[in-house]
Amino acid sequence: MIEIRDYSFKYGDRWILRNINLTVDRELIVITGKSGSGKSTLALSIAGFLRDTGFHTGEILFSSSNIDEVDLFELAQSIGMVQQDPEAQICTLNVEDEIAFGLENLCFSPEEVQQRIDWALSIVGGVHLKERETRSLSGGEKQKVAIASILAMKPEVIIFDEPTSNLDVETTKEIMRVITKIKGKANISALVIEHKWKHIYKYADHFYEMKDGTLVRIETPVDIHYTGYMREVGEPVLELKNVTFSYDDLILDGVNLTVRENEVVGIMGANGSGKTTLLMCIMNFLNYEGDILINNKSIRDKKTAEIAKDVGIVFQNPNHQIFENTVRKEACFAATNFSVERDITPLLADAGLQEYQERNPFRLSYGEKRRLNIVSVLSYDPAVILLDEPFIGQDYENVQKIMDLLKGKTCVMVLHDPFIAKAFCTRVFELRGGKLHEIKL
Amino acid sequence: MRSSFRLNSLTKFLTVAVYCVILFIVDDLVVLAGLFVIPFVMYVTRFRVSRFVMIFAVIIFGINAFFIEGDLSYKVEYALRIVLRFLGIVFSGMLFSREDPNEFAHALMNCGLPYRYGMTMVLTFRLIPLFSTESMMIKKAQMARGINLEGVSSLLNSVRYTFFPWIYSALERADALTLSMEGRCFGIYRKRTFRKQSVFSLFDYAWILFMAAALAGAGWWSL
Repeated sequence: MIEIRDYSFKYGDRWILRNINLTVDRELIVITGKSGSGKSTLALSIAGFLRDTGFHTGEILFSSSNIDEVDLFELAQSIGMVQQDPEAQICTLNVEDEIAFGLENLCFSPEEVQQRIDWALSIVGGVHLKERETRSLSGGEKQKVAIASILAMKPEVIIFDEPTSNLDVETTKEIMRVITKIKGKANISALVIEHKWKHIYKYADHFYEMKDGTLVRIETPVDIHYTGYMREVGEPVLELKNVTFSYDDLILDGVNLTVRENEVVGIMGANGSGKTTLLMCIMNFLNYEGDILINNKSIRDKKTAEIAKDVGIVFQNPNHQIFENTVRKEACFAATNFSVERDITPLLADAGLQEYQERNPFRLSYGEKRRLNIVSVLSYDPAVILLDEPFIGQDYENVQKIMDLLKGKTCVMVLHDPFIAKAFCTRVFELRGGKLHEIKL
Repeated sequence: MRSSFRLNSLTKFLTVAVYCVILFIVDDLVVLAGLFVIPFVMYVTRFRVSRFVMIFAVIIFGINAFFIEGDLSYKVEYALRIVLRFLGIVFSGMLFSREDPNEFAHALMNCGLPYRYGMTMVLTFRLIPLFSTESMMIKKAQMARGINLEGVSSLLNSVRYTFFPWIYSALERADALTLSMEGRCFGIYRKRTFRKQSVFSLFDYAWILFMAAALAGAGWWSL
């Protein structure tokens, strides 16, 4: 049992957590809240990872002893943690080794280890993954393996820190089912930190919201409503004609799509269905068959450098597309490369970044970095903007801010969240079997 | 069950090491050619040879034949020896690189390599492909933002603009991994158990004996 009594945590001069009181006892508890509200800090505090950082008052008790006084390794055996990015927490090369990792560290006998691997895999519904190499797994499968590897240690509590933010809708539901099963079948408490609470809410024993560092108990969560806007659709800007691409397998099988000026086209589909590949073809990063036209001109035989000014792209990971050492320079980076004269200040203001102009962009929050990426593309006003899962790890408010920034732009965006798609996209397609199928949400 | 005629990873490693030593002990051109043929045939029957290796071999041959003093047949023989050694090492090394790195690391740990080092090896093999895809993404992002990646000056630009995003992601990755590994008690005891034991079969011992004999034979013969 975990008991948090009047716990506050301060980092620098800022109180990140204020007077938290919470008990976790064989329950499924869901904590939601905005980015930066302190959810992850709470998770790390409970797992004991912040004991040497910052300053705190109050106490966190585990089985009646203060966790500050419990050995970290001992605590780790009772409180496990599953992180956001499944890729980042896997440290071995095959599934069984990964699940065995903790048990082997704890010097369990090979027989016991094997038994627990089988047990943990059966709970997460991953028995078929047993022989696989970790790098060949999909995002959802990786997350299942990560969960199994914690589960195998049979802790009393597992903390899930936004475990589905990198996953598509179906996989999200599946992981949520796994989490509820863990509580039911293995009798392990689950503390789930998640802003996609819709898929888990009904299973939760208690539901909380983190607001500026304080924890508020909620009976029924308020539904999210995005504010979309009307769009007058114009002439075709981007046309895909029979675009076909294969690595070893056929990924895109004759994709046809016309995107008109001012449209926002949403592309959905399971992880690995080829959504990113489609965007890479439009950027001419890949050698595809068929034809792609921008403003009625074929770009088939042009180099990426030649079309980059007309087609902007925002990649998945914001850190991979920040190149300068101040926010202002970064915002001007692409425009300077394309020799576009542009006053960047209003754009930075729209993105809520004007006060950080001289700051190092890597020190911005995740949401701010994402907006900076978008400003950097908006600065040279390309005809089409491609966005690859821009909403990963972004809360409701940040999503709204991103979409407000993109108002009046022609966009093709890969996304997972049907609520966002419904609010902002003029048309939504599912990429399935290498082809686009229009869907109504 | 593993077949008893499959060699342990460590035996394979030893084999490659001894093979390379023998390549340098032996001077006879015919024997060298015979030695070269073994890994070469094993490789080409299973994998595709990159053109780079062959071009490099031709260049080595050319340079050696050109700079060595002596009559033509001596020049050619000398250069051939160098090239056969070079290719022998390359092909045996490439064969070994196709082995499961996980098995090799586990075999080493079984033979007494402290698990911290062994698991670091495993982790390295886990991270290399991730870092390489990450670098590719960063490069693509640069191209999309109008950095021209052709020519020498642009190469410098690319390095400059790759460094910080790359370092930043690496640090983030290190953070997540530390949490993941410490959270699963990595480093709690001086020893750790292993689910699979990397076994040395009778065949392994016989093979090691054979390699030792081959090494001794080559040494004695070249004296």
